[in-house]
Amino acid sequence: MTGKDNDLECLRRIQAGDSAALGELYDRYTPLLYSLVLRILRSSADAEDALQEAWVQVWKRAASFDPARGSVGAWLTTVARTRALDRYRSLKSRSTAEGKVETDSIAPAPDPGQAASRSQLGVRVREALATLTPQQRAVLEIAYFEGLSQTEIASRVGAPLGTVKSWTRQGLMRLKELLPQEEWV
Amino acid sequence: MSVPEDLLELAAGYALGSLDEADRARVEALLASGKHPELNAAVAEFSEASALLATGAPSARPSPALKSRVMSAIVAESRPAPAAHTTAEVPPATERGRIVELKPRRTPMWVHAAWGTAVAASLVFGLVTWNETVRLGRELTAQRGQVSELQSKLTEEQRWSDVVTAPGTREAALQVTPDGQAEMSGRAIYDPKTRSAVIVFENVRVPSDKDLELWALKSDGVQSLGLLAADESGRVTLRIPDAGDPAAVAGFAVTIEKTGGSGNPTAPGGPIVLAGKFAPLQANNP
Repeated sequence: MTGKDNDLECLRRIQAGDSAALGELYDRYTPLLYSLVLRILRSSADAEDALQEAWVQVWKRAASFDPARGSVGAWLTTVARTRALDRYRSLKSRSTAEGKVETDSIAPAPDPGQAASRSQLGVRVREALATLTPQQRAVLEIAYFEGLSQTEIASRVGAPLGTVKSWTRQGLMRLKELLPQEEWV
Repeated sequence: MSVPEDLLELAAGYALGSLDEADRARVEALLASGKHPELNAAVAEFSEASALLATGAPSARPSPALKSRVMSAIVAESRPAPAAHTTAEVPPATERGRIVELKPRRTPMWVHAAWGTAVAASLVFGLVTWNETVRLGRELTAQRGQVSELQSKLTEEQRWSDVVTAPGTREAALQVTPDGQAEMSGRAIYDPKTRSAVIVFENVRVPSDKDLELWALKSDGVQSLGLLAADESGRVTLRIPDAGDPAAVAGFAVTIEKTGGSGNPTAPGGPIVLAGKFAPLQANNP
């Protein structure tokens, strides 16, 4: 059974109320998802809160997953990213200091086996990103990790909105071509 | 089938969650129409590609305690709600009495007197029983009315529960502004299909000479949705049957106004104390 098949089976069991299945998905995906939300929120406490909310949402909304729209891995990163960006925006609006970064302790080193498999995927993604123009890469990373709209990105980078839309399309098309069928974990 | 470049641009921005309000609404309408399968496919492919960007984050792991917190939260979510109590309880069936057949005899006078007394007693008893029957009948009617009312409430609760749990709902975290009290917060869930919204506020304190007014943030302005009334704990739960057109509604805000509100349904009079916009939707809208 492939990783994707395993994920679908876990999701099916979650829909049936099997919490152990969510535990399995948690073990498989939390290192990736936590790294993502921590990158966005820059605080381990906020990252853990956001990730907890994300997993509860996975539990509650498992039935809304549509395999025709993408893989379980992509869906999970979307749930986690949305939660993190929600929290990021609310913290940002409350913070009085722009660009405040917490320097709390970082978690211990990840499991070498899982880190290796993720790093292989990470290496392939970084190699693919390296083939993009700096502008294409910048708009993708700003949009993904900071949640800015295309209008806000255009203002940030000093480019017309239409150009930002083109860079976004070109960048994602390139990634799609170079990474057509990836196993997440 | 090749996808027109403008649709590809929309699909890419939608998958990344970076479209502006109007473009996002347009894509959602196109996806919902089902008339552009090539757009659906493009969104799915771009969503996979954009999700891979997550692997670019530096590796880290959470504390081991997080998993137990997550699993505890899952268990709490799964716990069934206490069964609603109903006063329409069916009384236990009464036990049938044992029937003893009397043999016919000659009846002495004292028996006649006794019968007379018994008849009188039974008449009184019958009257009491009749009154009791009438009373019980009225009580049953009242209880049936209560059951009917409870059923209506249950249906209403189910309707609002459906709003909160429906797929495709939009969520917004309302955060306090510098003009608001620091501990106030709010969370809104909006169902584009029914246009209904459930908004919960915490730690709301309203000065005696003021009112808090809720506004729908729209692409072309704002629309008042009424005043907030908090309970003793500062909690407000608003159920809004029609929060506005899904193509226009972008979030919610609360302003502090004079008693009675701003008086203008499309223009606040006071400063914003809480505000939040919907998070961008993704392809597999969680």
